[in-house]
Amino acid sequence: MTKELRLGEFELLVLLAIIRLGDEAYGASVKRLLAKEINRDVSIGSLYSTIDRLQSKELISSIEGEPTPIRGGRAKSFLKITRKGETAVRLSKSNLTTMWKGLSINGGSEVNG
Amino acid sequence: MEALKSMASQKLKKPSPIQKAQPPVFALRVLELILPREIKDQLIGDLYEEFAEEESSAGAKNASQWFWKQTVKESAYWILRERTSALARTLVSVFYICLLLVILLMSEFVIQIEGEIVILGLILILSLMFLVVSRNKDGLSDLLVFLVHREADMSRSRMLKVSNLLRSIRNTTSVFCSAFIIVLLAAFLNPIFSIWEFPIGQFLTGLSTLTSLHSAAFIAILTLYEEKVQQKLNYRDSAYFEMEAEIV
Repeated sequence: MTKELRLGEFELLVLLAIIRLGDEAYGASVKRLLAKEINRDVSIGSLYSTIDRLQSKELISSIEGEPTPIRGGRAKSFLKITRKGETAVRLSKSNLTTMWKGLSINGGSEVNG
Repeated sequence: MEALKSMASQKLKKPSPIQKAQPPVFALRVLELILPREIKDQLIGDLYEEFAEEESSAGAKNASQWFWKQTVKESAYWILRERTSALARTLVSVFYICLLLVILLMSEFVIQIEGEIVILGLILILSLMFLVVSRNKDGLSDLLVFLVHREADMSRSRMLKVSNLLRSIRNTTSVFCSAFIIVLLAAFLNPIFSIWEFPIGQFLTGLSTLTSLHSAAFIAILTLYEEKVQQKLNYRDSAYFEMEAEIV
């Protein structure tokens, strides 16, 4: 497994949000989705530094949209997951599933990934 | 047709959410100044969008306060993340200037003792080194590792960082040394400004001479270390190519 394919928790969440949002994935929409779905209010700065890291690992790519008045005449940067990114997400899921298999926490029932 | 025209003009007159209120201009300027160029537009655009949402739900005043809060939060984040080295450099520069001022103020007392000048020359060189090193903290920690344990297993990029750091220290010291030599030559060759006749002039001339000597010695040591780092890098490259050839 190459180093680039190892994902941190927040990196994985951002990648999953990008996949969920499809063609509408950009900074603010990813932030909104994370707040809505998992109640995680992240600062836009930390989100962009993660996006920057994912781009440098070539796990996502970006396409510049048209400038809009609602954004003060600034363009959106639409995010798209790459093949490498998809591999990283699948690998991460499989690793998590393996590690969760047969595991019980605080005497609870077995947790299946 | 007339009805259509009037509808269109009514639509045009209707203000869009962005026309109702704008984010505080000064906060925008702060963000434009601090944010990295690559993400500036996207990030400010996202904040604009959120500002419009905030305005429609909580009103213009609260939205403005929210924007300021975000500006402070984002600025602090990016200053700490991107510009820590610049901050450290500024602090070291301030320290360096203060040190020079103290030297100038104390020169009358120090001029009598040569040993003090030697120490001051060393302080100048060390301050200069810190100025350069504060720009490259990772390089410094790797350089220390290299100095303590020559055989430490370092990646190629880390070795390159050490090599670049050594080179930048050497280059800056060379410039520093050259500047002192020019000052010395100018002082000695110019008959009008015979500065060495005054205590402060004698002090500065002594300090310049010794600092130049320290710098020269320092450059020699740095060159030696640079060569050692380069040798290690070359060795690693040849080992890598041999391994690759074996695989092929």
